[in-house]
Amino acid sequence: MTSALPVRLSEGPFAAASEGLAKRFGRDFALLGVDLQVPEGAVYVLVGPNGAGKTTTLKLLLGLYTPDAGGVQVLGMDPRAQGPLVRAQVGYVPERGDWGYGYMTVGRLLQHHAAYFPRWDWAYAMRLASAFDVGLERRVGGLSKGVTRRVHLILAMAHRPPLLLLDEPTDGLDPVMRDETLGLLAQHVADTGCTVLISTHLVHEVDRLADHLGVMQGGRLTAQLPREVLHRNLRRYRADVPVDWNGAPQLNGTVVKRGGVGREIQWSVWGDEREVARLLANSGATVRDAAPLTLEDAAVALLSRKD
Amino acid sequence: MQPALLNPVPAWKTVAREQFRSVGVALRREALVAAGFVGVLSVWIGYLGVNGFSDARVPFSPEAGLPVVLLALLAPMAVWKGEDPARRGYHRAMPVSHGTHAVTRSLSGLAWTLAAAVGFFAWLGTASALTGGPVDHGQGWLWIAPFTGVAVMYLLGSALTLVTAYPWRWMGGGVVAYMFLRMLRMADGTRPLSEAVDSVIWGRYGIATVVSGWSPMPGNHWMHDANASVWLLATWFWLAIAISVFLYSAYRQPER
Amino acid sequence: MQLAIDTADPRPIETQIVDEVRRALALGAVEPGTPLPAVRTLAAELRVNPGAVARAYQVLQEQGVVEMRWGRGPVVARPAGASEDRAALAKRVAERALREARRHGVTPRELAEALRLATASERSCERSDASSEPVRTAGTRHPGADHR
Repeated sequence: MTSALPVRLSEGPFAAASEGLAKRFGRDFALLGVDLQVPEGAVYVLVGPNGAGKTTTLKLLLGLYTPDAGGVQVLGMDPRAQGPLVRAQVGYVPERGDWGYGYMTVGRLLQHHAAYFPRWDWAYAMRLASAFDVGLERRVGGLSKGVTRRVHLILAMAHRPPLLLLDEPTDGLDPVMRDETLGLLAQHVADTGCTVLISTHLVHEVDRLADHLGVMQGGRLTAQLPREVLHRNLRRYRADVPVDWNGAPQLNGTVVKRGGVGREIQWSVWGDEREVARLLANSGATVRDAAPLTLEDAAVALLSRKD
Repeated sequence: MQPALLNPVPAWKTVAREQFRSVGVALRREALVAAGFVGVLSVWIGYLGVNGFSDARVPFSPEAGLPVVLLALLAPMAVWKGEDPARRGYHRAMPVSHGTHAVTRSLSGLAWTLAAAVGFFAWLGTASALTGGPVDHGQGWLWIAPFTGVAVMYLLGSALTLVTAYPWRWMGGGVVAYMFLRMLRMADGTRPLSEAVDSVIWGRYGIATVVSGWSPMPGNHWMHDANASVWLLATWFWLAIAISVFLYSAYRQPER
Repeated sequence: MQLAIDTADPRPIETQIVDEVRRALALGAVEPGTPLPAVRTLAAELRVNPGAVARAYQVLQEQGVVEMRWGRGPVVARPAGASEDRAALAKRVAERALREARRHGVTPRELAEALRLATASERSCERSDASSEPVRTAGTRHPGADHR
C-alpha cells in the first residue's frame, strides 16, 4: 500500500533536533509542533515560503528565543540550559543584513568575532576573505547586501564550527559569487565534516549540496526525508487515460501534484513506483513513464501540494 | 559527539577586553564630536583671554560637570548603536550568556563615560589654571557627586536602551510629558501628580541632589545646601534603583 | 579530467558522477592510471555534497573502475574491456532514448526508423560540411536529460 509522506528520519544521531516545537509571538503562532531532525554530517535544506517559520526555528536552535512548547537539542545539548556552549558550536548566518557592527571595518569585525571563538583560524578567514573578494578595510555599514552576506559567511565558517546554520545564505549574491560560495561550502564540509542546515526559499541555489530536505509550511514541517528517498519515491507519472476516466481514488492522499493535458495526465505521486503504477493501471490508465523529479521540482511539488 | 570535540567558549577576560575595545570603537565618532566642541570652546576662551576680557576666567567647580552628567543619560544609546537594542541579534548570537554579556558591554560603556568625565574635568582644570579662574575650595566630597551622578544617569539610560527598541521616543516622550505637567500646574490643574514628579527630580532626595550634591532645605524649596549625609543617602537610594532596573533589563529575555 | 553534472538531470548526483567517469573511460578520454581528483577537490569543483562524491567513488571502486590508493587518492583502474564498456554505454543511451520515446508515445519501431533517418541526414550534412565538429564533447548533457 502507498504511504504518507515521511516527516521523521530513522537515522541518527542528530546534530540538531526539535520535538513538538511551538513558538508564539503575541497571538500569532510561528511554529506549531515541529519535529526537526538534522542528522550529523548532513547538508539539510529547509525549504518553505517566507514566513513559514524557518528563521524562527533557526533562532530557537541558537537559544535566541524560548520555545512555548516542546524542546530543542543541538549536539545533544539544550540551548536554554547551555546557550553559550551551543552557540560556540554554531556558525550562524542570519537572515537580516544589519547584523554586526556597522561602524567597524570588516577587519575589525573579524577581530571582534575572533575574540569570541577560541578556535578562530585567521589563515582560513583571510583565505575566505580573498576568495569572497571582501576588502578588510571597508566599513561594514557601507557594504552592499551581497558583500555583507559574504562577510557573514566568513564569520560563520572561520572558526570551523561543527554546525552551520545558514539562513538564506545565497540571498543577494550574484550568480558568480553564489557559485563560488557553494564551492567553498562544499570544500568546508569535506574538510570539517560539519553538519549544515540551510534555510531557503530558493532550492535550486543550494540544490547540489543538499542530501536532506525538509519542507516547512505555515509553522509545520510537512515533509522531512533524505534526498535519495525523495528521488526514489516521488515520481512524475505520465499516463493515458480513457475519456470517461474518473480518477484513481486509491491514490488519494499520495498525489502530490496533478496535471496533464487532454487524455494525458502528469501526476507527481509519492509511493513505491510499482505500486503506484499498478494502482494507476487498475484505475484504467495506461502508464507510459515514471520519472524522478529534480530536487527543486520535488520541493515545488511538495510545497504546492493540495491533496 | 564527545564533549572533548566541542569548540570551547571564550574566556570572560577575553570577552570583557574585546567589549571594552569595541565600545571604544563605537564611541569614537561621539568622542570626536565632543572633542571638537571642547576644542572650539578652548579657542573661544583663548580668544577672549588674548583680547583681555576679564570674563574669560574659567571657574573650576564640580557644578561645571553637569553637561557630562546629562550626556551620560544618552551615552548608552551610542554604546548600543548598530544593533536594535531590545533585540540585539548579533550581540545575542555570541557564545556567552546573554545577561552577563549585556552587563559587560554596558559596564564597558560606563568606564568610557567616566573616563570622558575625568577628561572633561582635566580640561576644565587646565583651562581654569591658564585663565586664572576661580577654584571652588568648598567641601571635597562635592567633587565625587558628578561621577556618581554619571553612573546613576548612565545606568538609568542603559536600562531604557536595553528594554525598548525606541529609547529616543521614550526619552522625548518623558520630556514632553513633564512639560505638559508643568503647564497644567501653571493653569492650576493636576497639582499632586506634578508635585510628585517634581520631588523625584528636584526633591530633597531627588535626582538633582544626586548629581550636584546640593539638596533643597526642608521647608524652603528655593534654598539649597551642600549636605553630605542627605547627598549620600540620596545617592545610595538612586544607585540602588538604577542598578536594579539596569540588571532587570539586562537579564530579561526579549521575545522577538 | 573535467567532469560535468547537471542539476536539471533528475538522476542523483552520485549516479551522474559514476556515469561520467565510466563514460570518459569507455570513450578513451582517460587512460588507466590517471589520477582522479580527491573527494574534497571534486566536491568543491562541482559544488556538490562531498558525501555524494565519496559515495560515487565507492560505487566506482566496487565496479573496479577506480582504485583507491592510500596516500595517493583515487586512480582510474584498468579498463574492464573497453569495447564491452562502450557497448554498455550505448545500451544505456538506448534505454534512455526508449524511455523518452515511451514518454512521448513513440513506439520503439518508430524510434528506430527515426534514428536511421536522422543518422542518414546527419551523414549527408557532414559530407557537405567537412569542417563540422565531432559529435561528442566532454561535459555535454546526456540525451534524455534535455526533456523534462
